[in-house]
Amino acid sequence: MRENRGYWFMLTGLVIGLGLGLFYGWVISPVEYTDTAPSSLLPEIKDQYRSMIALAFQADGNIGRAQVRMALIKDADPVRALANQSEQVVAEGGSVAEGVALQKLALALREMVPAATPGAGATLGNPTVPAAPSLDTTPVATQESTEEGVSPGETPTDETGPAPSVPTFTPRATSNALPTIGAPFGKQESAPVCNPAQLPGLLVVEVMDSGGNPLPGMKLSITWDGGSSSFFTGLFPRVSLGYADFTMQPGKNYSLRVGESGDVVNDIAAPECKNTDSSTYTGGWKVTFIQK
Amino acid sequence: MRTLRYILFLFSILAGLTVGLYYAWQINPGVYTNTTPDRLRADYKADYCLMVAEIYQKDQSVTLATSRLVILENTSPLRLVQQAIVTAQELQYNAFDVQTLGQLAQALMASNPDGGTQP
Repeated sequence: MRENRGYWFMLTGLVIGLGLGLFYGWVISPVEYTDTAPSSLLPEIKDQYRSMIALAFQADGNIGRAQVRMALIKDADPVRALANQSEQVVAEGGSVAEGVALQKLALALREMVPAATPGAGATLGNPTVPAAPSLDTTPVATQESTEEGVSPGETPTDETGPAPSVPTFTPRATSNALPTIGAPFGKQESAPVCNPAQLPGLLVVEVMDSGGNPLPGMKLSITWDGGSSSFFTGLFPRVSLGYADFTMQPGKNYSLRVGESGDVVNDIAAPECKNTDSSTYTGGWKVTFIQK
Repeated sequence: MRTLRYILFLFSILAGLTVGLYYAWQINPGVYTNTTPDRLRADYKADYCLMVAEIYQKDQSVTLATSRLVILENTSPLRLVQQAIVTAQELQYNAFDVQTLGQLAQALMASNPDGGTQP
């Protein structure tokens, strides 16, 4: 008796081959990307990249360039990403300078005119605008195999053609909304705070510009009998960009100033407050500075 | 007849394998996220080096600059900056930026004269 099984075995073979091919191509020897863009980086490396952008902005003050660089990371909300990272850096005991730089960039970006989308407003080969990388972020996938003619270690080339001219972003007039370092700040409010829900001895400081907008990155100098310290606004953006706090020791008097000049607020101390049942607790203090 | 069936079966496996590899490598090679900095395109690497150089201009710390550069690629920081200068010239960065990179390269060379000769 002859069994007629037809050609279904070929379909079986095809499926087996397909499965083997996918397994090899996705698991055993997946495509390794080269020539990627910053948007594809590991999250922790993206954080590092943001910090670098912020520190470079602090160094050169070129907001146009910083904006182009931030666009490369493709954060949904760059300002929030910077502010959150700033807060995270400080919370984890990182560099205060880095936290402040991130905050300043966040503020500068926030106060800029809504930016041109990548490509729009870009000019090619503008020699006056430095080094912004091109915004063509398509990576080149290469299967690193000598069979493909690419020997290990050889730099794969961009298959889309020669290195493109660098579309550079023409920065708008630099909008430096940050206050002048020496601009004096005056005391608007200085008063004890009795709030049992607040941390004992907490000195809360709010710094605003002349328009009443909170100012991050402002250095606050505080002195007391036998000591001094400094801290910065803007490290708790979820509270306010102009917010800063400091924990006072009971029984000590403090003097506080914003920046290098301006009003010095003296006689700040953690007050003794009373609860409704006449028990006492250590209160706090609030100082508000406003740019003159 | 039996031999022919074996041959056809083998052929169909090879055909499936070819289609599978083409799909996995060309059509749908997966999402390219979580890549490492050494995979960045040359112009992005150059711009990263430029950021390091700009910060160096301000803080003048070769140590910090080095620590920032090694994140980019596990090679000599000086080589990275030298490569960035080449890329910058190819892409016609402005002279000031090339000069900024050059100053960082000089500082790295001064701190480690052999840094650029490592493979």
